[in-house]
Amino acid sequence: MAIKQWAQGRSLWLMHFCTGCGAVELPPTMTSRFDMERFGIAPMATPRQADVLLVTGYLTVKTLKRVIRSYEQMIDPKYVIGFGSCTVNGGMYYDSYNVINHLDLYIPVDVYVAGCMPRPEAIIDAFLKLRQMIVNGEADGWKKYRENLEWYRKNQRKILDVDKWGLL
Amino acid sequence: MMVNQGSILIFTTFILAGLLTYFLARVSKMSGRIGGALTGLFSIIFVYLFFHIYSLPGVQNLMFLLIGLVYVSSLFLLVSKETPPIQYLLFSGAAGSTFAFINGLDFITAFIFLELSTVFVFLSIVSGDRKKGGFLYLLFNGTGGLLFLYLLYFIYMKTGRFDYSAIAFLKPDEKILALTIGFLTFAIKMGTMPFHIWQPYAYRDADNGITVFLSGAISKIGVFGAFLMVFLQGSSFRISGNVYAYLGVITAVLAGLYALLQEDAKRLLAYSSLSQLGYVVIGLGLANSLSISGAILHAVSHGIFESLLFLVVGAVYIRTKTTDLNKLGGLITYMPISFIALLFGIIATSGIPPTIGFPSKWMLYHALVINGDPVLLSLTFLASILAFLYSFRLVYSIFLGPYTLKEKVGEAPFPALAGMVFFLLPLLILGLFPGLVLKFIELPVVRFGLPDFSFTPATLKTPLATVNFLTVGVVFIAWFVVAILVYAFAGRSRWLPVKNNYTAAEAIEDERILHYTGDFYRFIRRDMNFLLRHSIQRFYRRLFNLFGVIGDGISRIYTGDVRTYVYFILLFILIVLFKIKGGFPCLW
Amino acid sequence: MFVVKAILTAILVIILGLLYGGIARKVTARVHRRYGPPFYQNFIDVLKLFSKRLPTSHGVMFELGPVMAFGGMLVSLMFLPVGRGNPLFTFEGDLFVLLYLIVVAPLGLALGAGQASNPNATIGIARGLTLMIGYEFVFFVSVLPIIKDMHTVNLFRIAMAQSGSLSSLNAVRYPFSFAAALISMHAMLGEKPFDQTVAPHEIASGPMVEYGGKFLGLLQLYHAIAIIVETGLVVTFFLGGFSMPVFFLLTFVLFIMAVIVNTVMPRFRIFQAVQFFFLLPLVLAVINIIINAG
Ligand code: SF4
Repeated sequence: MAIKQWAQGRSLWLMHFCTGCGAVELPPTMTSRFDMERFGIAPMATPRQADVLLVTGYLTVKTLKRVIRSYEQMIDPKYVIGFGSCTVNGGMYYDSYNVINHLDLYIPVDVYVAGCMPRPEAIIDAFLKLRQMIVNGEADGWKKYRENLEWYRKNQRKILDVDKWGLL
Repeated sequence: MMVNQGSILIFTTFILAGLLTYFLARVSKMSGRIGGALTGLFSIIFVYLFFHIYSLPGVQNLMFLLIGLVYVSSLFLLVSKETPPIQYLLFSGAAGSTFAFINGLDFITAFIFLELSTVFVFLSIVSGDRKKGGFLYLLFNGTGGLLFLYLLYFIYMKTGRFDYSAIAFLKPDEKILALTIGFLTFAIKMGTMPFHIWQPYAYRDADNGITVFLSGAISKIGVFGAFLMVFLQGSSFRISGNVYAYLGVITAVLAGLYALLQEDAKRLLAYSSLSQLGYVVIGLGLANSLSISGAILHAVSHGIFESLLFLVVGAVYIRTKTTDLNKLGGLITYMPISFIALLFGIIATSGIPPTIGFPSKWMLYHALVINGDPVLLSLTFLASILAFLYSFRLVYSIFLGPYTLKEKVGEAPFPALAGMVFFLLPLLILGLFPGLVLKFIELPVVRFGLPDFSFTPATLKTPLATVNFLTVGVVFIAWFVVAILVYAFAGRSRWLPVKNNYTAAEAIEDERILHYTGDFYRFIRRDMNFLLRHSIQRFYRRLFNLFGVIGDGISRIYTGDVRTYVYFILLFILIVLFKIKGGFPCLW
Repeated sequence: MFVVKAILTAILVIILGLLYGGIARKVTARVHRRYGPPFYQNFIDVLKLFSKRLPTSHGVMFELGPVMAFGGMLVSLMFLPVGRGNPLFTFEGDLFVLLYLIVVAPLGLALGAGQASNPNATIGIARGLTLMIGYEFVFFVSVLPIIKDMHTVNLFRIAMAQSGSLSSLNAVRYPFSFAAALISMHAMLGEKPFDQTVAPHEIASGPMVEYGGKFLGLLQLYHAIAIIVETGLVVTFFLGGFSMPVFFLLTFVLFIMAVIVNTVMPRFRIFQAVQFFFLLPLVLAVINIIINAG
């Protein structure tokens, strides 16, 4: 068990889901200045291959649909990192008509990175925090999602036509 | 003038069986099916009993076994669907004349049954919906028949005999001429490249059951005949042989290339059949013992896997009523056994061990390496790469991808499945023990002498290397078991519907849009245009335009006009007249 | 006896393949002026992939695809003479057996990806097969002078014939063919500029698009073996006759060379790639055939 978690913590494959402003911080994180591959973190092409869903900033209702779908397509165990104040409480778009405020209501978030926008150091710090949580077995957002699916669905239904959209 | 008695007996048996089935099928569909199966089986058993008594030498025997296999399977496909009664009769006739052709060992018998098989197949194709294929078939094969008639006449004039061995009495230059003509006749039957136009059309337009027989058995008339021509000429063939080898390799490459670009399963298979027969021509053209054994082995494996593929496509047609690759897809869910059959068929087509397709290609490669012509060798290899491409296109577009039809379909009918199993068994067993086939042809090919080549059931040994095909197969299976164990111990998986797919998080309404099938190799089509633009078909069209009157007549064939047959007869009379007037005195 | 030997070889090659992959990532990172992951990163990745729960699947063929790819590569490995004095089977491996066995793995992947029903996957497969026209053909042409001169297609004999002095290496005797074979090896490995099959930014990693969890793990193992088999094929033909450690060292050198090219290259369009093969490498190979004949 421990070796599994050890491996899971040291090999985090990212799902590019770059909405919002925060995406701009990812290229420096990946490239030579900050080099996140040091920690076994690598970008992947599709949700099936990825372990971590990065939500980089504000989410409109339209993108939320895609985020939920991508999240559900990922394979357990899977983790979410919320990026910037927008995912925490709406940030500077808190009163916008089409932006959701609390990402946590729709999918379980394991780690938040506060800041508007967070620096690459903060991002890497978040990954290391996530690694720590995985190794300790605390990053269990995917279990919560499974167990409390009805609750999440209820929240999702409030703003989205989830059933018609055809989540799976 | 004596026609071989055995051949007549065989032919009569089959015609009687066909007639009986015809009347039974007229009474009711069910009785037709049962009667068709029973009479067919009975006649084949009869033929085998007959030949057990008069046991035949090598290649003939092998061809009998192969054609019998193809016959039974295509009969099974015929009886598992709505077949018009007349097709049973015509099919029986074609089968009977094929057997009779193989049995006869003199020119008269050969000619009669060659023509009879042509006529039966022609009638069978034109009694279907689309007729173009039938007329093209008749045009080319009729011309082939004429050539053969000329050969017969020529040899009779020179030697006064009709049996094959008469060729030995010819003078060397006459011999070369005679055998070139003979080889051309059978090259047309095999569809070697400049004479291939009829094949895709005929295979497409023929009834599915007939197509199985056409590709698996009737083309073997060509192989057998060409083999005889090479055999009778012996080692003196080698000079002209290289030309044939080049014809073969051009066929293999170009037909493979055309096969990639087809949008219809039967046309794709027709081109693939052409391409595979190209290998046979290469082997015969090289004319040494290794290459000829390889060619015959490849003819056998072609007979098995190509008929299997046509059989599966026929079964798919029974259920879906289409062979258009753009309309099919995802049938693996509903027709798993057919899928497995097709899978092994394409594995053999691509020549991957441990199937029958591999040893035959292996032998041909070794023969080519020994022959030492780099162009021939590398182009042959190119053709076999193309085989991967079109085989994947076939299996993907029919069985994989999302399911594209409206209603659900069932597994192929039982007789068709039985036919598939009939092919699958030899496909796998002979892949492990190719020597079983080679035993039949050991004696005749000794005549060609050359490379030091020996075999046991599972092992082939050439000067270049020794391979034990059984070992290859066993290693293959062993590691697959290991891989499956690794897979099984790694935990279970969760099955999802096709719609739950990576679409950049977009929900899709209709899963059919996930099917990437039409114009599959579009980059090849787009960028190889310079090669494909000058197709041989166009060359023929231009040639026909050039020839004014004749061209006018022949271009009517493209419109599907019955009168072309009349032109054809006129042409024949013209040639006869030409002969009476004197013609080429040196030849007559 | 040789069952044990075969299993040991397979395990060794898998470990080495993963190691090569890890070092390649390190090398790539150094070219980018990064630190890069630890050299054992690929082991962690495979371990993680196998520890994933309930990977998604689209059907039987989808699941058997990676299995066929993995198994097929293992089978091809068995027919490659790994270093001197190590023919696994009595008949020691024949070029045509190997060339035809090598395609079992891509065929399996193609079938699996086919049932995934993702257009990205199928486009990837169509591209991969098209590219095969280029590299397989060129590779075959480049080894022609060798099999013609040595008059054998037995891989073990070809390798052994080169042992002795440096000048008996085929790489020295057939330099142009060697160059052509290296280029086609590059495409076999799927490194840029020949990564049209996978092309993560374009068709979302092509055939692998729907694979995750243990299936992707199997594919990683397949790739690890493929690295050694494909470079090993070139080593056998052109740099053969050394002992086993040197054999692996040479495969490593060839692989790292390919990786270094890969890091600085963009991607060809698919047909540009095929055309490239018919222009430069094919001409190189043909030049050597002509020199050899003359
Ligand atoms: S937190 Fe700030 S930087 Fe990030 S998405 Fe919101 S507004 Fe943009």
